[in-house]
Amino acid sequence: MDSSSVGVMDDAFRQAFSDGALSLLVDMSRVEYISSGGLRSFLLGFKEIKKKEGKMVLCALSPSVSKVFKLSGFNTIFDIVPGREDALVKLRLGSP
Amino acid sequence: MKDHAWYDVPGAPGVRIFPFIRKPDVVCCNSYIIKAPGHIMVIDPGADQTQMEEILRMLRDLSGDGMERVTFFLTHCHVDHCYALMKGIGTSMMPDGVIMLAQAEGAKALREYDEDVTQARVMGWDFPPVELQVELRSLLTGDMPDEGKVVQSTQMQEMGTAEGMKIGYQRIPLGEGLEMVAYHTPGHSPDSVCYRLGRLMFTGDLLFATDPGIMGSVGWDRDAMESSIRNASWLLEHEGIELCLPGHGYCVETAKARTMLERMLKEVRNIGAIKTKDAERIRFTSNYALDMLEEANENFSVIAGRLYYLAYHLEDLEEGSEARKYLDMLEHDRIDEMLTSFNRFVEEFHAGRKLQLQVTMKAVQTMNSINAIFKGSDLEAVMDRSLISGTSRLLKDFMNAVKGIELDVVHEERDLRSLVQEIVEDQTARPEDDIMDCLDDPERYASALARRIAHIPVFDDIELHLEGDGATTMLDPKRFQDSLSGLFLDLAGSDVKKIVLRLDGTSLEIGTDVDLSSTVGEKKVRALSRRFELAGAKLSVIDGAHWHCRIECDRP
Repeated sequence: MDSSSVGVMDDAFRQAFSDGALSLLVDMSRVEYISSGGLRSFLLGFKEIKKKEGKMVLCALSPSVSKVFKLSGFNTIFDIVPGREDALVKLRLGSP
Repeated sequence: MKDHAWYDVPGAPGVRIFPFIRKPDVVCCNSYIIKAPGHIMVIDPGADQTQMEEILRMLRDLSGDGMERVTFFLTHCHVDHCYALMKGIGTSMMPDGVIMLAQAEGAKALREYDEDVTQARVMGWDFPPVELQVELRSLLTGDMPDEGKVVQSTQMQEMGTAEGMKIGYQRIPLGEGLEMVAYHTPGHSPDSVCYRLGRLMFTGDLLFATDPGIMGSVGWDRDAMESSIRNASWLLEHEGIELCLPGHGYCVETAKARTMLERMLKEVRNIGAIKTKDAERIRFTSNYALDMLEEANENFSVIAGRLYYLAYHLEDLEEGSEARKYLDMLEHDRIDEMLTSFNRFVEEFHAGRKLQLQVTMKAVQTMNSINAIFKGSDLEAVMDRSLISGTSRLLKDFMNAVKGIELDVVHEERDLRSLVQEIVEDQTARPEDDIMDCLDDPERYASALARRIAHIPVFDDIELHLEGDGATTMLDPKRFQDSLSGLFLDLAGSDVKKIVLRLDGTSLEIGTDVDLSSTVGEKKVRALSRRFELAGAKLSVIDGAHWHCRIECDRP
């Protein structure tokens, strides 16, 4: 996810919010790389859903994306779980 | 002067010029068509098929009754300046009796199809492409007077320029009192030539001959380069030149060209021996560029991520203006765009549409621009020292590797245990927390708050054990510590919960509890090994499944 593709993520968040979504599951299994623009897109999406008192859970981070999240502190902002099922459970039960 | 338009040549009445100005690239140069009464000339036909076919169509249209002489002038024999002609592109459109002029050594390299001097080997282009269809004649031949007679009665002469300096030159009559003057300006290549026509100077690759990635190609000569720079500067001043028309990129006004030459003179005087950019060296720098891109991608994502993290928490604390200040510290969007563009370029390379040399040149351009942004930022106050210095070193080492100069390595006798201990303490330490001392000073309070938030304790959940005794080693302590910090960050970014560092004399073994083959894979190990090697140590991975490596340092 770099500066050329981050617009797709921005649009997906915009669409989800305009559809009234309050629970977001982001499956990252096909994201091999995340640039600063990608991180910003996630943070903006997270702030928006937090404002709406909704929830966002990320799952299936590749090792390289997980590394960027850990080293930049993003793992302490986002709810990150290993797989889709874990994410669905988290969204149903409500994250702590 | 702009691309694809006719202009009068200043100082040469009745002569017009039509430039083909390209975005700078290593696969083809700019070309210039010149129309004088009874004579059509082309400076450097280039290597691009479309450009060559357009040139030949224009020659056919301009030649009218076919009575005009047609001459191709080469500024030097590198294939990006002449391959289209050598390849015989558009032979059927080529007028009869065409002559190609090149300085004697370049003409010899072309006649003998020398793959190294012409750069055909580093470009990976066929050589010899075809039997040459035009008559190749030599210019500026001091010791071969017969061959040097391009036109009756002209051959190389010498003139004094700056104090104690001389330059070889040759006048080439064009008819009706007009002349082209060729000046020998070796350095970039032995056969480099500048041509003067009226008040225009065609400079070939002279003005960027000391750029990283360009300097040091086969035939590079530092001393000759220094003389040529001084000679060219003198010529621009004393021969009434208005505009320089380079082999790549936009035209340069004389004042700016002289400033460029002054900068080049300083560079060339400061540079020592450099490695020749032969095919093997190009392969090395291209692989280096690919490895470095992965590291740069990751480092700049982490750096930007940390600034976003800091700004996010500051905004939460209603410190919006402070948050903005940290977000503005680094133009990460610009860096992101540049890295994206480089990533796309690398995809083209892997698809076989770009050459190794182009990858290196793209890396140079990208990293130069990123470095200018990164150097000007003030991140140390809110970012780990190791992340900043490691990233700076990454950029600087790559540029020096491309230049082919020795890297700044300073080996010293140091105790291995204390070097490792310092890094372990540095990684696990918390920043000095003076927030309680500055509650009544809003500015200091905001900075202290930012420092506290910015500290990301990546090692808090990792057990770090340092065991054994180290001996005195001989290494570059700063490079060694930066390399070790970088390795620690790689480990901290994975699922490692325990790291054991075991010292035994001059060796350090690092063991973990997890499989790191996906995060510390082949490329990462290659990059780490390169860094430790420069520090004077050798890294080898003993076990990838339960990641375990050994770092052997030199004894004094």
